[in-house]
Amino acid sequence: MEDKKEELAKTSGDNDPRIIAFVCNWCTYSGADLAGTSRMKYADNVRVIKLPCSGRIDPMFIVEAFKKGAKGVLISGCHPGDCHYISGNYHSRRKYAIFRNLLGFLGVDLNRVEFSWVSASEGNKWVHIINEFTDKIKSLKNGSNDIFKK
Amino acid sequence: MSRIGVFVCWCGSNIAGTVDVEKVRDEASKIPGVVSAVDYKYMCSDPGQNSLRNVIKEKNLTGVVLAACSPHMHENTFRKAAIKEGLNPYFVEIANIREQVSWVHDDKERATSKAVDLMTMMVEKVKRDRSIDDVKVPLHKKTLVIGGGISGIQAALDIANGGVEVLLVEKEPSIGGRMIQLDETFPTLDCSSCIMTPKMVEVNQHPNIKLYTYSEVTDVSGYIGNFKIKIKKKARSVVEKDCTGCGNCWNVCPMHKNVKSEFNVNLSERTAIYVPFPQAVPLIPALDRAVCLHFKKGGKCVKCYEACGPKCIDFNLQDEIVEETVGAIVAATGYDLIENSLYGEYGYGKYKDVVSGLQFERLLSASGPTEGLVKRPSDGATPKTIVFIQCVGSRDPEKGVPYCSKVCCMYTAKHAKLFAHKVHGSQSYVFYIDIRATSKGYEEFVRGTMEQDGAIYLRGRVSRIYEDEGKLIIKGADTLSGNQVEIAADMVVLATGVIPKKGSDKVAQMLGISYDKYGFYTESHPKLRPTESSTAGIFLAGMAQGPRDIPESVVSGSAAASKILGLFSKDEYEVEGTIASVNEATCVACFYCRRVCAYNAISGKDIKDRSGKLIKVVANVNPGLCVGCGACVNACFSKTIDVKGFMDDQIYAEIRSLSV
Amino acid sequence: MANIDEKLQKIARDLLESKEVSLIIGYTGGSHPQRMRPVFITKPEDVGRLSFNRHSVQDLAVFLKKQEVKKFGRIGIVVKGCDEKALNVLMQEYQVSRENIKIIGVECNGVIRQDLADKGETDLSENTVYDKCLMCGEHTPILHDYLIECADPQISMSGDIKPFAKIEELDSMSSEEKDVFWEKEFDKCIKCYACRQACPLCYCSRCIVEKNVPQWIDTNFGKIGNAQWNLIRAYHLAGRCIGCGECERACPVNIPLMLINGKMARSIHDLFGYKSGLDVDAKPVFGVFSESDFNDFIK
Repeated sequence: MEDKKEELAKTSGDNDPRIIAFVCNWCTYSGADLAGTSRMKYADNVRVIKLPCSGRIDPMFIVEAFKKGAKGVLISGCHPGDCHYISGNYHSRRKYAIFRNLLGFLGVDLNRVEFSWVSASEGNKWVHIINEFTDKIKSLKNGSNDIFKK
Repeated sequence: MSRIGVFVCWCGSNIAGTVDVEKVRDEASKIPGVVSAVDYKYMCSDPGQNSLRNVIKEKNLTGVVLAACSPHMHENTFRKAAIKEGLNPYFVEIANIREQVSWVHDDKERATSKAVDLMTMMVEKVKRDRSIDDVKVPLHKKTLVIGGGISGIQAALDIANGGVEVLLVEKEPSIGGRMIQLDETFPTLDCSSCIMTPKMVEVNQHPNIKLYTYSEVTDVSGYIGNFKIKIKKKARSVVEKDCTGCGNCWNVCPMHKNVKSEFNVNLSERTAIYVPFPQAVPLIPALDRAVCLHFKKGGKCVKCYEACGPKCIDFNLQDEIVEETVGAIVAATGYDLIENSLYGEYGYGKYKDVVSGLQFERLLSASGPTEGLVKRPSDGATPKTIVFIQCVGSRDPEKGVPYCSKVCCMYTAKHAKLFAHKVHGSQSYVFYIDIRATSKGYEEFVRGTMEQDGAIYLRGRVSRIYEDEGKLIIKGADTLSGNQVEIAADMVVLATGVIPKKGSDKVAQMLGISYDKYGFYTESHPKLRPTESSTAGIFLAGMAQGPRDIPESVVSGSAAASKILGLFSKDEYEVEGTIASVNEATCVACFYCRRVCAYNAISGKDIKDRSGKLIKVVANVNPGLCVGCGACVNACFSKTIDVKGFMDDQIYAEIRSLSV
Repeated sequence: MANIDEKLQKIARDLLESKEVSLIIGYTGGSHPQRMRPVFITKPEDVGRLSFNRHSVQDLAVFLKKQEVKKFGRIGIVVKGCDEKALNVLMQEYQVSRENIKIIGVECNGVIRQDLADKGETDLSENTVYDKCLMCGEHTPILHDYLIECADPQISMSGDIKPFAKIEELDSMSSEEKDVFWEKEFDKCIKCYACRQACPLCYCSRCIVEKNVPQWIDTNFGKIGNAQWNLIRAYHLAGRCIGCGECERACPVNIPLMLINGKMARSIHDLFGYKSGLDVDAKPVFGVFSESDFNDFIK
């Protein structure tokens, strides 16, 4: 049974990919809450890890998520200029831009790493991002982020 | 060993309708370290909270996970319940299975499996929670106000009236700022000095206000509740306590031709020993050593000393440094005008009768160089036609600044109105881009200038000004009619935009507050914390923060005051304990953490051995300033700094707990 | 050549005799004529050992992070233009203070690759020097207290050698191909951390790889751990690496580390217009931000 499942996954991509989202407390987490209070529906593949600020989200978390077997990683924070902590998202944006180049250079399929700014009022954007990202991951050939996977 | 309790909330059918709460509860009970797993209809209800408290007590829990609604809803509720049973509130974690599970998914089996994941993550996180104590910072109940303009004065008076001591520091020899330079104020036309002077006097006489004029703040260190400051009292060459303000000294000063009066914006002269204007507060002259003959010519001239009755002039006085400790600071450093010389096509500096808005204020003012009679600077004749040009420098990204200076539309309307009142049969023309008159009574005021006072408003720009046979010829466009217009005028007034006061960036750097690309101080949050600076305990007022008019400046001064009085209503300032901490053993003091900290919360700390010899320097977090954002953690290469409540090992445990 | 050595030795003698420094770090002749090795001089009478030539490959700035060296306080150091950039970064990052260091700069037109030198190569040409020499923009050290002129002629470039060719080649690969390429390279890694030890800018007293709560990097030398280590090394040096190439030279299994470092340096320059080590007063690229920073990759 287990073997069969694995085989299926290998040939046809992943039907139930796990996505880990690292989000800031003030904007994106609240935006995701708003999607809830508005009873919007979205793909249930995402697992959210809340941090105070995108400035706290270390790019190395992406690697750990891949190691754990996540098929996609999303990092999301406040829009530029809206950071609850003034400039946390600006500092992180620089790091993400470079880290992303590094991941890509080392062979990670960058389709699996997504970044977004979602404000507390953008429940609909959150829904859209999650649905779109989930669909994209499902369409990818399995194994395209091998370097950090067992 | 962890003793975790997991509480799964039904939230009626809000959660239980989509998530199998019993399954979540059963899965929780299988996790090592979980000693109790229960479900309940409404955890946030009184019976729900009581059951939580009972289990904490009975099972002697070391941590609590609530699988319930968003932490933004009830985290505080449950933390308070935990405190009542003696559990540190930071040992309470919330798995959000309502807003982020039951309300957004339909498939019950999959929603349940997601809820189990989120619950498990929080169990692993709470296992690694550390007891966190909120930080209490003692408050030194004294306030420093930097800037003695209207907003600084308002803040100082409100704070002082609230019973708190204030140090008001002003760079110039007198307080009053820009407002005291103005003639009458829009939209009510009450005279600026009539409403300003009483406030200035009140400041001077207030038992809770200590006034430092001709002084500058030179150093600020410390943090909210405990700022150490240094004030430099510049040598005034006058013994303040003995001076009666009689004026004998400045009346005999031989330097009355060469020094331009700053107060009259270069339209008149002042002496070397001077008060900037007759109603100055304090009425004590300052001796400008840069221009004084005594200092320039080796001590020969002592005329003022000879004329002084109480002999309070002392050429040997030195700058004095005063050290003080304050708990809060108001930064109200004010504004300057954009340099008019940027606009060569308008002839400023070339033609004497092209003046700035502030100069025109002085020409209108009864205390000004013309004693309130409108006379043109070149020959003293009364102008019959004046052209006013708005948006000089403002809303001009190419040569000036892109922002709107906010006050120019109104003061130009006022100028045109006052000109019509003072010179009968005169004519004003106003070139404008848009008219912005949005506060109470403003639109009516501008209308009045157009309709009753006959000012002709032309929508368009002026391209060139030149002199021809004693007249200024203004060439411009009237875009509404599509015509090119040419006006022969006696004077031109440029409604020059505002920029932050020269040197205000240095003040910001000293205070450790942030400022925008124009140099205006930025608020902690543009909507919700408009009074607070980026640094705790430092508040903003007046034009230093951005263009605003007098009523708004007064409001901002009062707002800063009310924030400070609120802060000082307690003896200690309490901050959440979820702040950064440094492992001093492994810190190598590269200080990337300090570079990314937006709150100035990180400084260097010397580590010394017993004999006092410096061993090394490490980063140190100031608990009064740190807000726990964690930017420093991300900047630290060796992971020597971490933020309580969101430690790296907790995040890693959350990731690793997931089933994939 | 003798002229350079004499000048070096005179400067060193003066510095030591006047007690302006208590240690000079420089080069001296090695086990055979085409090898130079570092030397630590504390006494004026030993300055005769100092020498410099086209085989003076090592970036001596690496020693400044060592406690044994730090305890000397005021130090003189012989640096080429590329090595001096490391000093600038160390000063930017508060690891070295300008007043405590005397920089004896040596103009340099390239050093000969060690592998070729060991086979007897002595000619300085575009085929014999390190890649970094071909791209060098700092033949004269940016900061220096003393400057010794170069004895070597400038290398004439035929234009056949394209320094970024390999980076561009990798950039053009698919992620699967890159994955295969790097898996093969990282598979050689034995986690000896020589790359870290040789780097003048890896000065943390406890490297992240030694932090185990949480375990940031797998300690084993399996596939994941190797990839993680090589990734985080490059990430921590991004915007800081000055391209001295010591990591790659130290690597016993020849992982092309400069390929990653070069890619990072290029990205940093493309995105933020920053080159590390050029300006001691500049704010490091990851210590500042601009509101208009690259945002296209964020939704």
